Amino acid sequence: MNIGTDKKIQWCPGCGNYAIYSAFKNVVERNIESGKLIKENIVLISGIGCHGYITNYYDLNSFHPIHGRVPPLATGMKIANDLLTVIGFAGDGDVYAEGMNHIIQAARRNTDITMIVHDNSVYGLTTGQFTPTSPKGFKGRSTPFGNPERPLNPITLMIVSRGTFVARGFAGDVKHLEYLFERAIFHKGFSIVDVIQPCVTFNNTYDFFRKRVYRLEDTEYDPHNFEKAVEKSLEWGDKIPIGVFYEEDTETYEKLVRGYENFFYNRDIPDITEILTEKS
Amino acid sequence: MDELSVFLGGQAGEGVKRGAFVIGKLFNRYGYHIFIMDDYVSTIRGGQDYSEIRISKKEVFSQKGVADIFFSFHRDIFERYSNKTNSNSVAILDGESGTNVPFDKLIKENAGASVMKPSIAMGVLSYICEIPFEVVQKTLESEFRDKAEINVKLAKAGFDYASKKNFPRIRMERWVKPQFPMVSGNELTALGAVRAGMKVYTAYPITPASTLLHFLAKESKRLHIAAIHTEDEISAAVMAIGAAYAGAPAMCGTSGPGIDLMGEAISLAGGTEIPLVVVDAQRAGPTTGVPTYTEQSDLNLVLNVGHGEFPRIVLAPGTIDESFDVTARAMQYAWWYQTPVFVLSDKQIAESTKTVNIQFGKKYPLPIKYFDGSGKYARYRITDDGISPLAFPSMKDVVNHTNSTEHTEEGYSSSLPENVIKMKEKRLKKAETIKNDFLAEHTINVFGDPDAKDVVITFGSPTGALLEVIEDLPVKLLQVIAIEPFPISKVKNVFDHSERIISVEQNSTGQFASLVECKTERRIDKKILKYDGRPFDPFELKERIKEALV
Repeated sequence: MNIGTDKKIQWCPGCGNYAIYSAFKNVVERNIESGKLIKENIVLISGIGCHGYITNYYDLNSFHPIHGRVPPLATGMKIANDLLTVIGFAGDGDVYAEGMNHIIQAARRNTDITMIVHDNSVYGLTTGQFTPTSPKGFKGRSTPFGNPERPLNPITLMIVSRGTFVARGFAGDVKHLEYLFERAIFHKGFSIVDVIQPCVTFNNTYDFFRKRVYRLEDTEYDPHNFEKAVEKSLEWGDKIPIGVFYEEDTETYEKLVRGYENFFYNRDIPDITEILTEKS
Repeated sequence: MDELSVFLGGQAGEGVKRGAFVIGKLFNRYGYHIFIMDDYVSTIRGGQDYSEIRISKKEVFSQKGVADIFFSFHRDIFERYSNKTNSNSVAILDGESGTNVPFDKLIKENAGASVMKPSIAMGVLSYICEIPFEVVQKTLESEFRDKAEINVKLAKAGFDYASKKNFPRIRMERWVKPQFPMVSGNELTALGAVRAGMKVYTAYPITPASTLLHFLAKESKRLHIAAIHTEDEISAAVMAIGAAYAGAPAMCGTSGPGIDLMGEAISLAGGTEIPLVVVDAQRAGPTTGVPTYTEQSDLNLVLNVGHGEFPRIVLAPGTIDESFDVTARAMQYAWWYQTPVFVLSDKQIAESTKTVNIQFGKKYPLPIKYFDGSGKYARYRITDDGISPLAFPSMKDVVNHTNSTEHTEEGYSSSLPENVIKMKEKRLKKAETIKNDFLAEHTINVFGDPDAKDVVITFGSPTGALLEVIEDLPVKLLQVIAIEPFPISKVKNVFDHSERIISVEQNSTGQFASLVECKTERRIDKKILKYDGRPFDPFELKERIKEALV
């Protein structure tokens, strides 16, 4: 099984996107082979930015839309056909700046989609401006004297937005990414993996993170406690946790708004005479 | 009497809209045609609102704008709208002198609530019109069900009061029209979409489109659809696009401010060739504007919203009735041509209510150019008509690459100049196909004397009042349904057989007139504009056309 395409991958050598690309590829290929995923039911969405080309590199259904709008697009697909496995790739600009509203709403609703965030704390494709996750003082092209804003913490944000599977990955740990992607894809409900993905050209943070990250899975941490998860998400210093911060099992949005129907398979035209009679 | 206009004036919270609807129901039950126009301000309490219930033996498509009977629960509201009365109008205010009725007192005596005042008015009205009280009782019972008792009691109190005080009588005989559904333009837009297979409706609350969402949400189980209230209009449009991509016919609805927000998504649907129906129930702009009043000032907006160039279709129903067919067809066009289609209505059509007698049983099958399974699927396959075969995720051996970045036939990103030209020309070809196909579509209506030498051209809601106006004037009425692609040859043909051209539209700059002039290369002789947020009244419009004809 090879879900790659013949399109030449156009990311900088050493870009963290490669780690995400190959970890995801391995997970999907493995699960299609074992029958746990159905190839034609997988839909990938990618946002705007360097990562956005990723949908060109997989031979899977895809939709490359506009900046920031990956979550509502994914939600629309799941409402139409809940047999789809919908996975959204997006950048930190996509989901924490332009489309932050949408990612919070999707988390809150528990839409059954998976979001993989290529979080490099910089706008790469527009040549190096700060993003909502860049540290204060970050010198980018739009902030030559240093970023005046304090960064947001996506993990805390997603937990308090009631996302039901919230994880952080690191592009320097592909094996662990595979573990997280697999868990996220098979989680029933909203899942997000915020992947620290250094931008080798505009914000190379490999060394910074390599020294600091540790896997939550190697500790006694239990991701089923909301308050503990919020507390854990705030840990950011000499030690930076990666792994699953929070998970919870609850009903999905699509089921609630759609009832029993699957609109892709059921396209009946209902009788409207009863309603009209009542209106008479 | 062949016709009667009843005004019901009150503050927000006094049940004016609901009351007007129930009074309409009474006369619908009694065999009359109904048209109800609600004039209300954007507030939950207070304000000076009224609804006009027009009751007629023949079908009417607009309010009359003159009260035969004016119920007003407060004197200031009656005074504010005294220009809607004449010397024959019967005024019924809160009080005990003359033809007044002590609404407040009767509510207190019967332990009712302010919101039930219209039921008293209904009782009074039934006395005046000599309608047997049991018709009132039946109407209230079917409308209010478990809350009927108190309303019937109040109606009876009103009836008895009018009887005791010997109110003047305006006899309305039992008439013969069958009981037609009494529906709003938004409800017909909803039902039209459903008849054409719509499965997902997305919207963010906004007047005057909210009742479209409310109706579809309320009836979602019976209509087998999902009606979704999203976080904003951006999400509404994008969610509808996601649903359509996955194979569920979808529609989003809003008013002008929401269209502004949907702009990027409309461009997305155009560039990625996704079927998307967008309803714009216009209101008076710019910005927040006059949110509960009507205007046709989004014409240029829907013709141009969304950056870049892509094919689009814009359809404007002229009456409440037409909303059904136009929306159903919008759905069909969207799915055949795989591009955004607008249904351009306005507050006057969207929120007014009317008895309608249309072909609800008509079938609107969704035409889809499906991928036939031969060869490798390419989402943007070049074809003779510019329309690429469609396939959805979940279909075996199909990989659908939909791409907002300029793309190859297979849907892969490509900015090579030859590819950019190829895809632009593909979309141009599709626009050309739409234009040619539309020659055979129902894109205009011509009413009145076909031999009349002068023509009145309009689009959208002024059609309602104009249908009445032209009965007494030597003109024909040309109503344009398809704004884009504009039916140039058909309109020119009518113009070629006309001397003077008068345009009627509800905005301050004459957007429609400019469009007609640009498309047909004919000067409009007289532009009739109205921009006070209130719909054209037939009488007022007739005078203005008469002036233009001098």
